[in-house]
Amino acid sequence: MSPAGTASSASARPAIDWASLRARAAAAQARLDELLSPAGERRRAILRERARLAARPPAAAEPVESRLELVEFTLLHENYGVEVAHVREVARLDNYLPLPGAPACILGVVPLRGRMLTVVNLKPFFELPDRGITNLNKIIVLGDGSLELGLLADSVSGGLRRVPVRDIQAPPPSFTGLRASFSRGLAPDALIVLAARRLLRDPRFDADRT
Amino acid sequence: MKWSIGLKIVVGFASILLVRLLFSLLSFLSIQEFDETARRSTRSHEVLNSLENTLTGLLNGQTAQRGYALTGDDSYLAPYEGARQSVDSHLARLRTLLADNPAQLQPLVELTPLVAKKFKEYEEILVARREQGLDAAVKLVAEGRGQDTMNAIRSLVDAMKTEELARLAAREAATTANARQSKLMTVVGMICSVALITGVGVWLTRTIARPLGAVTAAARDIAAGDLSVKLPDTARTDEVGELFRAFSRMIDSLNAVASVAQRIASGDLSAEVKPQSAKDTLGNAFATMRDGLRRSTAEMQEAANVLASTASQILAATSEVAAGSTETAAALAQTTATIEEVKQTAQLASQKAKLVSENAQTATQIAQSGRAAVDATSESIGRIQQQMGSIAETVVRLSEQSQAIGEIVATVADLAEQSNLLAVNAAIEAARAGDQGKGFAVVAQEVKSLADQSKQATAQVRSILNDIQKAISRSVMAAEQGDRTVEAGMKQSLAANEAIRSLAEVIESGAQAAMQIAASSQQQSVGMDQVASAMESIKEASNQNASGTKQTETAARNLHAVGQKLHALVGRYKLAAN
Repeated sequence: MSPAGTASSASARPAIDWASLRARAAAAQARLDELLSPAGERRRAILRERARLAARPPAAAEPVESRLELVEFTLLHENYGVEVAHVREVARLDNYLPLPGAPACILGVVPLRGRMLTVVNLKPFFELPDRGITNLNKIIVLGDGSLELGLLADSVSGGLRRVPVRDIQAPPPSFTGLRASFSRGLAPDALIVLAARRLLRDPRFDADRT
Repeated sequence: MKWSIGLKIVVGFASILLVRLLFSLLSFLSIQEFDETARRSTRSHEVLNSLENTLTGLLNGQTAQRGYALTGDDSYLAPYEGARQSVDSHLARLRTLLADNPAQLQPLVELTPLVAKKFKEYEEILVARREQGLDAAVKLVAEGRGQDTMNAIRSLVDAMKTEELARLAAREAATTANARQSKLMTVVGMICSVALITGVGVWLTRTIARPLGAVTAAARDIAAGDLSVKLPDTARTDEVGELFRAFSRMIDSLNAVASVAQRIASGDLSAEVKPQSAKDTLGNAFATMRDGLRRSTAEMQEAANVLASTASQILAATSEVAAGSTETAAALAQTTATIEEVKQTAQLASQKAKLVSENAQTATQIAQSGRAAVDATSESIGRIQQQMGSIAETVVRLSEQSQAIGEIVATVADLAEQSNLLAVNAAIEAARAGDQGKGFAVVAQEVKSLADQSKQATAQVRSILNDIQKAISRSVMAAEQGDRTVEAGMKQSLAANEAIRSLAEVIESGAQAAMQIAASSQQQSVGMDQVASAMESIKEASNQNASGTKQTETAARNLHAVGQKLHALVGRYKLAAN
């Protein structure tokens, strides 16, 4: 390997542009500094956008009787909804206690605001595979004043969904067994509306009575 | 005519023989008569002679007796005794001659005693003379007593002479007549013989010679090869008729053979030849000849086929050889050209080898400087290795810092989740509050939106952190690879150092090899000159070979043509009837 050969191979390979690299690193540092301490202009723009959204007049009010307000949640890939009138609150699944001797649909009990809440897992009922429990799971707390029941959900969407009653169709004939008995109907976007009252009154989910 | 030719000839010659016998018998009788007459005439002359001698003997005896009587000399007694014996012998002779003639025998019988008486008288005188002397003897002679006896003897002899002469004359007359008759008979016999022979000759000629002439003419024509002759039909049953028919059959047979010969000559060997008999030499010979010709022709056909095919093969082979010769010539030309090129190449190689030897000197010096450069490179690579280490350490520190960022992001995400739940519960409370809760519901909605945005932002940060982590891992790996590359570079520069050193050695040995190549190329050039001259000889030989092959090809072509011709010629012969 002659010195001339080394020179030619070095010139054939694209040389590293150190100056450009340094410039790019400096630009990234500057943008990061700007993002971490937003300037007054940018902050004002964000607030103006939010004020505009808040000042928007509400949508034309529809008759109360003609629509249902639903809390949406998911079990695996299926969307379910429960009428908001039967929902007391939504909580994170923390520190649940499995009940020895309970059926598979009873996940356990959870302490909530000084009381013990029975949590039901609907996946075995609806023949859906169980993927295990994480602290990302939520509990939708159903209640009608006297009875309370927690439904295990994989995720809960933030807002309420309003669906006109006429858009809710009867459960399709493909729904069988418990899925048919606990379904109230089928809303658009394959949203299965659950019958919260039947769930509350089902004796299988009454931890106190069992 | 029912007679055969033999009978005819026998009859003809028998008639001639009879006539000739008749006349010959007559001539024989005549000649015998002549002979008898001549014998009788001779006896007559002998009788006459004997009579005369008898008389002479008597007279001689008288003379001798008288001489003795006169002289008394005893010398006269010898003739006397001779005369007396002579007379006795003649008389005996006469007796034999006249034994068959009684007319003459009678006088002879009379004569004999007279002669004896006479000689008795002579005896008396002689005795007288001897005993009584001369006087007594003369007295007795003078008495003359013997005269009478003598006369009687004379008369008797004369009578006998006369008689004998008469007989002789009569015989001569008869002989003359006989001779005339013989002449006449000879002439007549001659005339008769001529007439008869002429007649028989003409007859035989007409019945035999003419037909034979016709047959001879036909035979001459046949001998001359003309088989178109025709013999007239004949009803004759004799040999000539047989000859005619036999000749006709012979002509027919010959014509049949000739026609067969003509067919064979025209090439038709299917003609059947039927020999007339077991001894038919010509027929058998023809059959044998035809069989032989058929066999020969079949063999010739086969041979012609073989010859034709062989000639074709030879021609093909010769053509291939000729083509091969041409290719050889072309190859030779190419080889010669190649040798010239090789020669030039060898010279070029010699020059190049010298150039290589000179270049090798330069290359050795360059190798020295190359080794120095490689050593410098090794030092640089060592420094690069240290810098690579510090780069890797820095990057790993970066990775640890981004892990801290990740923990912060997780906390933010948890806060966003809690805000979301809070928004849901707020909405539920607002719904429960009815119309009073509507404003609160809007706030709850806003909180939910913020929580969602926070969640999305943390997701983005996570993704970016993930990318950063991957980039850091790649950087560490790149640094590691760089380290290995640098390690390899170090080894390679050592190897390069070694390589340059061995290269220098190789160049040195290469220079020596180049010198040897130069010498070898010189030798190769000389060798190529020898090869070129050898190629010239091969070229001449190849040219001769090519011309010879051309002649062979011409010969093979001729042979092929001859084979074809022979095939055609032999093919004209028809071997079988079909």
